[in-house]
Formats: sequence, structure tokens, C-alpha cells
Amino acid sequence: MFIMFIFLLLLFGVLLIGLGKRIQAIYVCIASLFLATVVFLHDITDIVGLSL
Amino acid sequence: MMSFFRRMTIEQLGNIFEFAGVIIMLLLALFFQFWLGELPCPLCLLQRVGFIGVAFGFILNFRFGFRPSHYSIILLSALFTSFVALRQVALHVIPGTGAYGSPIFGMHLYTWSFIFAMLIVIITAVLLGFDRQYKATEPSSRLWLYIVRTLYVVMVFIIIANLVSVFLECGFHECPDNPESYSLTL
Repeated sequence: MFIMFIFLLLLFGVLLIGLGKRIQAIYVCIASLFLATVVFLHDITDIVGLSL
Repeated sequence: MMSFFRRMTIEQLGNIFEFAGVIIMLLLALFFQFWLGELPCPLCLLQRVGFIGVAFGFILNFRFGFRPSHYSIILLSALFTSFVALRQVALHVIPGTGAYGSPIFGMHLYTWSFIFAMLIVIITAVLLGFDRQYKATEPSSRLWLYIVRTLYVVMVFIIIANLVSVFLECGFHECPDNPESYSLTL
């Protein structure tokens, strides 16, 4: 489910680019990368322990 | 048309070349999924996220001009992709542990993913070193704007395709480690 949310964030970010909102789009992209990192860490370690 | 490409700077050519490569990788992944029926695992999906992040940085360059912050997005996304791909390679590198998906020219998609992500890191590190691209430039030609808009539409299509496929594959639950069928159907 979180992966779907990441794709939604990326879609939102790309739409922000289309609207000319550069800084907001960059923030959204960084947020999606951060979320993807959390998901990856959960996948490899289970230390994060989120209920995905 | 050829005169347009001859007038392009090396930074523009490099960006277009890398962006095209990323789009080809993403379309290849979709081809494997929808035509060959090989559903992506969670690590595969994270690699797609990484490549879309790389494409995101290139679209920022095309839309707002070349900036170091955009190259930073590209590098971070490519490094993330390489870590995830390397994890998947490590899971299957021991003989007898099997593999995920069909090979292309002897190597699987996750191996190609790692190679390509590292190539992106190297080429981008070279490209961002050209200082002239950060100075004010003359207005873009109509052909360049047309190309940028087309690439933008392609990227939106790819993200929507991935979003729909993830929803069909996983629904509102954690994605299965070895998916064999979609959990939801249209």
C-alpha cells in the first residue's frame, strides 16, 4: 500500500511541475524518495517495523 | 531537424539521452509485466520508483532550466535505485537460489537496473560539471518546447500505468514478495 502512495506522490509532483511549481515539486519528490527508503529498510531489516 | 540536434549543447544531449534511457527501462518493465505476465515484486517496484525519481530530475531540467538541485534529485534517485537493485542481485547471486523474472542478454532486469543506475550516476556527475549550463540562456526553440511537452506526457502516462498496476497487484495491502497474479481485477 505504501508503494502505491509513493507513486501517487510522484504523480502529484509531476503535476506540480506542469503547473510551474518547481520548489513544491522538489519537496514532493524528496518526500517520495524518503518514503521509498523507509519501505526499502522495512523490506531488508524489519527494524522499522511498520505495519504496511 | 538534424540542424536542431547539431545546435544542442552537450548538456542538453546528455539529458535527453539519459532521460530516453530511463523511459526505455520503465517501458521495458511494463512490457515484461503486461505482455509476458511477469508481475513486479516489491523490490522491482522500488526500482521503478527510483527510475521515476531520476526522470523527475530530468523533467525539472527541461521545464525550469538546468540547475544543480535538479541534478541532485537525479543522483539521489539513481543511488537509491542502485541500492535496491544491488539488494535484489544479492538475494539471487548464490547459485541455486533461483532468479526473479526472465533474463535479457543473459542478465536479469534487476542486474541491468543496477548497471544502468550506476551509469546514470557517472554520466550525471560529468554533466553537472559544465558551468555554462547554469548561466542565463536564450529562449528555447519551439521544437525544444514541443519535445519537452511530449516527454512530460510520456512520463505522466508511465506513472499512471505503474500506479494502476500497483493498485491491481497489491490493493490496500502489503505487496506480496513473489506475486503470481493480480489481487484485484478491473
